[in-house]
Amino acid sequence: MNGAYALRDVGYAYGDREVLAVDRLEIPSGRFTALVGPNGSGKSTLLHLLGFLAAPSRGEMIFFGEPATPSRLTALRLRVGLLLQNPYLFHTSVAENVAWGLKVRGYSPAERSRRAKKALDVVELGGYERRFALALSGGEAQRVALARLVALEPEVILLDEPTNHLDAETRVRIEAALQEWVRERGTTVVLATHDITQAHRLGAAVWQLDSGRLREGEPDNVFRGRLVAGEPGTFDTGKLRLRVSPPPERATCLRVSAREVILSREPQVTSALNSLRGTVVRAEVAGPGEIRATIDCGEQVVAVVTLESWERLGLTVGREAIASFKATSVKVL
Amino acid sequence: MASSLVSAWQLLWDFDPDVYFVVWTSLKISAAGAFLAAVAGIPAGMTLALTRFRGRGLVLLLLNTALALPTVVIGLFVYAFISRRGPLGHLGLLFTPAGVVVGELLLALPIAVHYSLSAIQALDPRLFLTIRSLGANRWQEARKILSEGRFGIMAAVVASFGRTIAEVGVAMMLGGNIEGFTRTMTTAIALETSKGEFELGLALGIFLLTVAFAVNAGLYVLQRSRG
Repeated sequence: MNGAYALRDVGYAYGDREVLAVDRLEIPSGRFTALVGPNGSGKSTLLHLLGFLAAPSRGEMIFFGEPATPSRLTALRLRVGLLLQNPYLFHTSVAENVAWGLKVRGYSPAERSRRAKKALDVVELGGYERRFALALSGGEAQRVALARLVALEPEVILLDEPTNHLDAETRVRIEAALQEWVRERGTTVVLATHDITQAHRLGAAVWQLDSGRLREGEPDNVFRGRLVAGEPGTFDTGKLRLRVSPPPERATCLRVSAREVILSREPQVTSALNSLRGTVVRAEVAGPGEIRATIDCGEQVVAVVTLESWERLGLTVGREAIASFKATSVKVL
Repeated sequence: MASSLVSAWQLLWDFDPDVYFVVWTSLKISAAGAFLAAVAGIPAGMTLALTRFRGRGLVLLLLNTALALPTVVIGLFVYAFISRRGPLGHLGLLFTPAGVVVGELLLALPIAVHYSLSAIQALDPRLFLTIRSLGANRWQEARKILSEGRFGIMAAVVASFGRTIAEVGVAMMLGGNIEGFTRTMTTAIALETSKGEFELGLALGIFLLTVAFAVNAGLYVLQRSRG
């Protein structure tokens, strides 16, 4: 694999408490990778490790084929750019903010000015150069911070909830600009987000983080397909049909949280409009007292249930099960 | 009292050379002491703010104690070192402007350290992460931190200068109040007042207040302009 990062048995601890444990993580170069998880799951800590702002307490990190040893962290930092969740802007002009990382790298004033202007254009803030950074709105400040990274043209860009403060329209445009950027330069982008839909929009490889544990794959059920003409709120994946409420006008990708899926042994009379019969093909521990079960219903449906429910239902791999969820639990991506 | 005030204004207005020599000596010595205190105190304050080490609590305790040291105690301490029989007596600093500067430096140093420490501690913690994430080395990091905390740092310099220009104990003990050589505004005020010469004392007092006001007003304007 043409990899930007490879992590093996990496852990990070505050004192005696290990807050992050990564058995294995491989991040390909030149594309988007998303770290998805709730607040406090360890996404920011992992980004700080990937940005070489901290050394792991244990394990091995490889960066573009070279080991990232503690003595090399400062040098490696120059090849990576990190956008904080709540970015800090220096108490200077927008242009000086964007150009500061270039100054650190020894670029001439003319080159700094040229690159800063170009980066501001990418985030749609051309003409903002002379403005005082602290007078900007939250969204503008986030874009200036993004421009500060883009100006550096680093090999890797790490983004911690990058579009938090942006309205939906601007977010889509900034995402498009980022995608263009990655395509043109082959930049590797690692994105921490709690929003799986953003990961999908960017076409990112998804890793999920939960309580500091990393797992490859999507945390939710994602179904691709099309709406059935003449049957409002019915979505066809080619292998099964799902009901969506309220009926969307357009949808090619749907998501159902694994925690919204209810498992039973027999069909139940409930308000859930989606009831899918299938076979349990995988069962693993999802967390303390929780089981993540995969049911093959034509499409694979993942459900997270308590260990108690799992045992009460007597489910095991190979047994038949019914996966049910409400039409209102189905979200359009 | 009114006639003394009028005479004091007259002395200032007429640019009395004796008055202005005292003013100049005072400004020179105080500025030198405050400058040296800032040069040593700002990095020390910054280090204390940014690092954690064994004994840091004790250092902070000693720093707070030093803030409350009476000027005459510092004067006495330095006197013991630079007097003819003291360990640094051979340098001939006693009753010279340089000797007073040493005392003023020690007087202002805890203030410079304390204000710098507070200024850096008051900075947004995201600043440090941002600076490092942008690839700065230690030197670039320190410069940027100082730049972002510039108003607090300026306050450290101003407070140090305020302390050195307004004190009398150190200047009296280490300078000896020698006319035309080590006489400062505060020692002159003390002397003239004890002699019953209120005019000169008042004139210098007015000047002292004006300097203090101007320096603080300058800082205020700077802070307001980009606060």
